Amino acid sequence: MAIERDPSQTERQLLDTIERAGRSPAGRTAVHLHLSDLLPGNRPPAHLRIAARLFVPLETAHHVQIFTLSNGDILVLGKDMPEDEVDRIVHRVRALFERDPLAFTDFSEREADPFVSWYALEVDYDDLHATAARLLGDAERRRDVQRRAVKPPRPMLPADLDILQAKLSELDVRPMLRRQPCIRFQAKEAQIAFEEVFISMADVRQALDVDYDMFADRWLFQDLSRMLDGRALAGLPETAAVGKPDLLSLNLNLESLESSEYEMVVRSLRPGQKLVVEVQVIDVFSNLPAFQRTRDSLRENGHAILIDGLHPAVLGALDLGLLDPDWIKIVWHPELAAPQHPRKSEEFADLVNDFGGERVVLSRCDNETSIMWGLSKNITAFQGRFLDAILGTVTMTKCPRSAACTMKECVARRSALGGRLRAECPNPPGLDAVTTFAAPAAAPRRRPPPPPPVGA
Amino acid sequence: MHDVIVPDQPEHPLGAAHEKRLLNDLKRSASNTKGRWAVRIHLSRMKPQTRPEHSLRACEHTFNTLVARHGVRFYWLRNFDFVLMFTTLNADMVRSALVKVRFLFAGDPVVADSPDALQGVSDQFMTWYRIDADYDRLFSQIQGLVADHRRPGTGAGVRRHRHAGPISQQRRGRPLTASMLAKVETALVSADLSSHVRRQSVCALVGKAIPDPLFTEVFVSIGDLREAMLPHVELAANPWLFQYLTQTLDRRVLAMLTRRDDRTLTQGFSINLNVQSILSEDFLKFDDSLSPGSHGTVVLELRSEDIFADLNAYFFARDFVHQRGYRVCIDGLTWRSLPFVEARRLGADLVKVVWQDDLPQILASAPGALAARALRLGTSGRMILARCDTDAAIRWGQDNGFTLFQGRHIDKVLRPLMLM
Repeated sequence: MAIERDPSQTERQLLDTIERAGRSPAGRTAVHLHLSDLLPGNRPPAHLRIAARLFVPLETAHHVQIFTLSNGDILVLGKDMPEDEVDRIVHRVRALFERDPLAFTDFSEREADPFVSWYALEVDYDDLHATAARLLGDAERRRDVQRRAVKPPRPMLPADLDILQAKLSELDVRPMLRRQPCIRFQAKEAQIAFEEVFISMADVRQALDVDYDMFADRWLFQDLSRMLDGRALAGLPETAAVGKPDLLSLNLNLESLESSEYEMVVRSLRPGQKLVVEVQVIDVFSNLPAFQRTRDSLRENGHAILIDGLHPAVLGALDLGLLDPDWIKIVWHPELAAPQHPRKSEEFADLVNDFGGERVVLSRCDNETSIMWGLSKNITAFQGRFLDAILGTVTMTKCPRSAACTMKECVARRSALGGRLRAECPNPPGLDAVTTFAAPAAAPRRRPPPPPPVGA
Repeated sequence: MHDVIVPDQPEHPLGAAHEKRLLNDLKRSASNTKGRWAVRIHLSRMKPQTRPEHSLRACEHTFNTLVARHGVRFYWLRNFDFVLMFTTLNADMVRSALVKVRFLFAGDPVVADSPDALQGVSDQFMTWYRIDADYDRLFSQIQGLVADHRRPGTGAGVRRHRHAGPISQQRRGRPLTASMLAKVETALVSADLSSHVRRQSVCALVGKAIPDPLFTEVFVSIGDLREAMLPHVELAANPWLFQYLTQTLDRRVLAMLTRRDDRTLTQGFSINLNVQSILSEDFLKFDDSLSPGSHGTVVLELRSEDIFADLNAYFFARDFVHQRGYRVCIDGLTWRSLPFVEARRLGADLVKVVWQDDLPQILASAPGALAARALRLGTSGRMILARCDTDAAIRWGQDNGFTLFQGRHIDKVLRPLMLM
């Protein structure tokens, strides 16, 4: 793709093709897959490419034209298309995205299928034409926005990593350390269960003047994270004093627990203060014996181990009980709350119960829906921006000097472990003052309906 | 000295592999020597400064067309000499290419102006061999070179599975760093991987019956590759960079299979892939290149840590490849990882369990109890016992419900059968 091509070109070709087809509409059909309506996390370009790929056999065998639109939609157009075959492929594409609410098939008879629309040109030409014209308009608008926007950064390459490593060793990460509370909801009140400490990657990016995407490759990022571990651990003893939560959680590679920096952190803990070590599942499976050893030795010293970043589907795919971590952290995905998520919902509550609801954290909770969903699945510990905002609100309510602050400022300052951000607070001790607050009283606990009585 | 890059390796990165390949090719052509020629170009006799890296590349490049289109064979030796093998038919083309090479290195006294050198008369810069007359001389020279190789391991070499075990048992070295990785990545773009590609059959083996090959695993021997490119580097020391490297290898292997360099590989084979590689354009091209109906005979081998690293991507990739007809195998399970990986839950067709000599004892012990249970509950037709180097492994496997086997011992039993 050396030449920058107008991203709305396909839409223009589509409209053109439809107009030409309109002159002899007999036997012509169009199928429109609304893949742009999938949740953003479910439509990475690679997945959409593969979806379009499934139609390729039709292209060769039946002269069907396939349009992969710039918004991700697929439109298939042909004369005397073998409908059964097309339908089968649509079905396959739907199966690929079956975890997305868009692909659920429980829409009522009166509603249109949100996943796919069929057009017979003889009767639906006007509709189809209008759709194509709208798609073109959207594409052009998107293109114009894109042209004005900054280009997405290129992916990080091994050579970059080498340079980063050298720069990192001289970087003072202390001002870049952040914390985010994990909050446990109890019957009457919510309480900070632990505070997670991490390096703000946005700050690192800025400080090292990085103009590429550090997260582009999982493995290279993982290697970078090993280097960051050392820096974070080295900076922590001087800043961990802030707030002094009883439980402090750290994201680490297993191997970093054998470093002298880690030893220093452990020695700097105040009596009674304990650690939760958060490890990635790739790290766990890349070195199971190390995981088991680490888990046992952490426990012996009163600390705990947490497996981080799990997709909710992991609970069904893997018997986490066998790995026996103290905690697991599941990442919130908006499709979980889709009202008619097939199969999963009740099953999920069972899986949580089997593992132990009190050991599960739901992370990246950006809204109330995520909390409600979690509570209904017997999860009681949460982390995310929604909770940061609640804590910020409570902090401001209790702070005598909050009149000049905004909630956003308060949340940002609370998250900093030191440095400029925290220094900007007119009342720094206030940032650590709130450790509990009343649970949202009106939160209705949506529980799954009770199972039908036996024998019914 | 800035623009002159003196190779910092003591030997040519491809030398060891090429020497082995040359020896093999010589063995094969032992009975067919008529009209065949070889020439060895003694770059090793030149000063390192007069053969900078870019000249070495240019030199190899000179022969690209001859190698690709006219069956001329090109081999680097470890000391930076190279050897060409060709027939009388393309002798003229080789001669004219050698004119370019002499020109390329004209600055060195070794490349003296000798008028007959291109007519088959050896000089300081090149030695000519008429294979029918000089076979023994060339063969013993190359045999001598190969005998000097330090053996990286034995037999099939280390697979491209990343178990900490076998790789770390190899000779220790410097850990892989990002800058080395960057170099290897660049080298891999032009490297001829074919000499590092190994095959090993997975066979059904029931009772005393003859092993019945189900499919052939095609894999890059990491041991050989390391020996060729990073002889002093410990790959396992940095698992993450190594994983990154495997993604590059995925692309290269897919490209190789897509081009069908090897016509015997049209069906009934398996390849090792990362989940992300399945979602790549390279895989789609590979998929295109398979003849209709053969997808069902191709097995994709994925590692458990890669699967769990992004389960959502795995589910998507798995559903896609299943729809295309491929079969999915979870590769490289040890007694430690076995309890966590249920083929049924992950929707995989096959799982590959790694044999190790103390496996029976481990399974009988307390730490191995979960693995023993997982084996009992596993479906025998779906489990492959891999790395069976001994008859004992096969016997134990058969006693424990395995019907599918892979390993050097199977290769040994199969080899005489293949020749029949």
